Amino acid sequence: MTSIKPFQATDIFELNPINLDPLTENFQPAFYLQYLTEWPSLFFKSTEITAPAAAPTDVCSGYMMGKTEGSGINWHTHITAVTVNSHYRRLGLASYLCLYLQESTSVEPHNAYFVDLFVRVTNKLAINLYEKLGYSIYRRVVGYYGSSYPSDRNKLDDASDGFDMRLSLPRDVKKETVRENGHKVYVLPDEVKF
Amino acid sequence: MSAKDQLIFAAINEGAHKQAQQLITKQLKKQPKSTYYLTLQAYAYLHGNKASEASSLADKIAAQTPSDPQTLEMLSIVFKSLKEYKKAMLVYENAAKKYPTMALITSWFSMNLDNMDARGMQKAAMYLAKLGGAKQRDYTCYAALCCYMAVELESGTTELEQKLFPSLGVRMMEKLQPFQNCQEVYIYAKLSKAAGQEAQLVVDAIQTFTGTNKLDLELQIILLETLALMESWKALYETAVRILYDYNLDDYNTWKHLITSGLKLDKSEIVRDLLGTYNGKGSRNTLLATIALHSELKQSLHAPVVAYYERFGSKPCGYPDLASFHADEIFASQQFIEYLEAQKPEVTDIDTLTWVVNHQRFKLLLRTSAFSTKKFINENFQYYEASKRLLQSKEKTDFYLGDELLLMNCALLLDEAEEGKFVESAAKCLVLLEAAAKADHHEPHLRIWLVKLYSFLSCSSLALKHYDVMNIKQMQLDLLSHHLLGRHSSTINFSDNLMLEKLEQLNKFYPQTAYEIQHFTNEAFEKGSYNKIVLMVDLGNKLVGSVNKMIAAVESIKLGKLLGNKALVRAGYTEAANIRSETVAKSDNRDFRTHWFFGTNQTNEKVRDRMAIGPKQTNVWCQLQLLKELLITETSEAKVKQLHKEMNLALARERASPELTAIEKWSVEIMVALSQYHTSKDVKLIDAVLSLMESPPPAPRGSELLTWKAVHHHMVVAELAKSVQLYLSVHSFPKKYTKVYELRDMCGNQLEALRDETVASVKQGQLQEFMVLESKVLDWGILVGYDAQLVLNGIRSSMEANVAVLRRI
Repeated sequence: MTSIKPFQATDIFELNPINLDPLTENFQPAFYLQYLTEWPSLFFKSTEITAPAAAPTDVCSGYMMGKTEGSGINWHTHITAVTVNSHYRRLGLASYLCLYLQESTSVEPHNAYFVDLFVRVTNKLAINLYEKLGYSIYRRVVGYYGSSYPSDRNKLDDASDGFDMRLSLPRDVKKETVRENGHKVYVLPDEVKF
Repeated sequence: MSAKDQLIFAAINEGAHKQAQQLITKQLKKQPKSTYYLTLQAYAYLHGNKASEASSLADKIAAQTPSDPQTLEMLSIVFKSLKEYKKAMLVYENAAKKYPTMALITSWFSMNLDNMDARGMQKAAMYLAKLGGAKQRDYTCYAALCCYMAVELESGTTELEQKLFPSLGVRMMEKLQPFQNCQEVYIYAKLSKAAGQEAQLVVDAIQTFTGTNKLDLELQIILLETLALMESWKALYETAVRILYDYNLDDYNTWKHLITSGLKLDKSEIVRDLLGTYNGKGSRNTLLATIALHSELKQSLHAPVVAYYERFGSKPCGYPDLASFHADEIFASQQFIEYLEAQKPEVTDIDTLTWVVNHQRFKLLLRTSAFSTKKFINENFQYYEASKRLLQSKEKTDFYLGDELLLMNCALLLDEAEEGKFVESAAKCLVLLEAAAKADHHEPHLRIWLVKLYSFLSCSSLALKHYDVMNIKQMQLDLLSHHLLGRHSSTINFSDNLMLEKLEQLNKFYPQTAYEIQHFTNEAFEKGSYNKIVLMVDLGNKLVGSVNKMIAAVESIKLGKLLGNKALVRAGYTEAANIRSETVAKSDNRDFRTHWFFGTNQTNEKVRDRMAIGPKQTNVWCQLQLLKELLITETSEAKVKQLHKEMNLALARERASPELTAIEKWSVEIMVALSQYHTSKDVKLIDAVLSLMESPPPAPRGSELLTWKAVHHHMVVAELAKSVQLYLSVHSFPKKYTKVYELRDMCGNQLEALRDETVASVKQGQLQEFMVLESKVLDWGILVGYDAQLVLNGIRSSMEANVAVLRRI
């Protein structure tokens, strides 16, 4: 029984069931607060009414941290983090949160040209999910997740490379912000600028 | 800040009080009328332990109504340190009345924001709105929002203000109409509701602003709630349809509003159709909303429950989703259990395993007449064994619901353990959970349970190992570190530096986070993100008054004292004012729930209490322990009287809701009795102390020797002996009164005995108990195939290391 609600600062107290997951980053409070401050409508959560009914309580089942940035044709929505509580996985909740962000930012006051995100090249599960939602690979960012800065954009490493995936929004009428065969386009992290 | 001022602050901070005063006097000779240097002088008095001088000088300066922001800030700090909060506020307020400049008011606003003082922010923001200038519209929003916040967070507002502020805020916002963004509409809507205004005004404001555009999420929720409150069923129905269909947002709360309004409009059949056909075949939300519809119509829930379960019974949400309906009197428990029994699949994959686990969870929740705990536990073991192979094929980081089978069994074993056999059950559970954690490295519930059970058995190094796997950091420190750090200073092997690091990590987290919250709250005002500010301030206040922070501070003082670590003691005392203050709202943010999110998702209170490390520590425990520490070294008669006054209040609270273990209580009572000598000079008090010292509560015996209680008891006795020794060395007694020497000797003997006889007898007793435990654990048939011996060896060596620490006190 999923409802969608704005994320608030005190919700940070309720994230243990989600953030204790090994793949979910538990950011420092400043990071959450920055998103609340700068993009208040793009940080939201999904909630569930949980058992037992004698004391029905809302629990946070997932959250989305998004932002808008760039200029001109690069004005876009970025998915910074989307994560779901283990007990509410395999339900399409991550897609639900992505779709809500996409639909919210494809109209005023945001009216972005596209949505993008970064994902590890090895995270097949997530890549499949995004492809189902209509995202495609725009480029491969060599060393995006690495601990040291890469010097050669042609030196690929699955362990540290990420895909920049994009979905064009209605404002991008000519589909200029996406491309085919993006997985063959290699860039270094500092070449990802908006 | 000038170089000269930096020198003054450095001298104050380093405790060079004379030098600080000399430097200030030099500056005052050059600028005799400088209120800033006079205020610095008061500040220096304060740090030099001359509170009364600081207080009278601060009053003198305040009477001159200074107006430069530097002086005001410093003066307000001095008053706050003296716990004169009203005066701290008045310093600014009086200056603002006399010299309402933008620089002064913004400085006032910032100071209140840094203190997360909603009432103070409201006062300053009203002046900002009055001054206006280029940011007139923004400042009006600040002031209106602060009116709402002061009421919402109940930050020292009077009853009259509670009524007045929302109306005042509404009037201010009305002048801004037409609203320019959804943040302005948000402030207006919140104030309007708080002021008890006509709800239609909120609806009009939202609709006028939104027009044909898509509703902002925050406004969408406010609109639905307001329409429901107004019982405006037609508008509620139409708005819900618009959100569900035009926005294509499958939102459960909106479905609930659709059901409520649809029934009021006599459209139950239309609602049923909408639910059944939404996006083709319906969704999880619509299937659950159909159950809610049946519940509203008092129709049997069985058919929609089964319809839901057919699709979601093999998902982890299957249990929590449906269990929220089980208390409904028309939920047919027996019929549902029979349905589950008839459908029971063989465990072949994750889906069938999930189905089976959900089934077990319902059995435990509904406990129909056929339920038998013994049978249930056996079934869980069988299912776990049958599904173990699935663990090998899953990714290391994938979630595995099968662990719940073991967790349910552990909770039941601990619940059913007979008196005196709890330790045995705990050890058995540790063997099971260690194996489960080895097979599913990242499962956090298993890890928290391991931390708790090892802590219970006084195996701090093993508890720490599991705690570290969870990579607890940032806000989780406030929420989860209590599992490891409960009664830290009296239960752990404190020679373990890794444990010490955890405490230091905690002491650093709070000031850093407080700074971040201040910074971003200010940013939120600047950027006009008004709908996030109230709960940012709430978050800030909840961390200022965090019970976990206060416990960490007290533990730092106690542990720092035992280890001779002055930095740790100092870090602890930084929190002393908050612990003693009754005006700081204490907030218990600790997470006692997450590790119970398995099985029925309910906390088993009996098990919770049985494996707790003593009574729950909150601010009463902190106050008593802090006051006890302060009484040891305080020599001023007036201050001792004040400490006694606070101690008596805290002890009264302790009597109403005990937070001390028996031995802690004994220790506090002795210090109180001893310190009474300072004010009464009645040497006979020493007799009373001697008699109390001779009769401590009984030391743990039997299987209790294998728990945290053994180390805790002796550690508290040792700490008390040391504290009494320290008290006797700091305070003077008449030489002819020989009982003082008797007491001193008694403490020395106690410590001596502890290091030799006590350690030896605890070790011997532990060994005997451990042998019995070992044979019982190894004999338990369920553990065939488990490496029980390895776990037992770990328990034994960790336990021994903890007892050995008593020798080093």
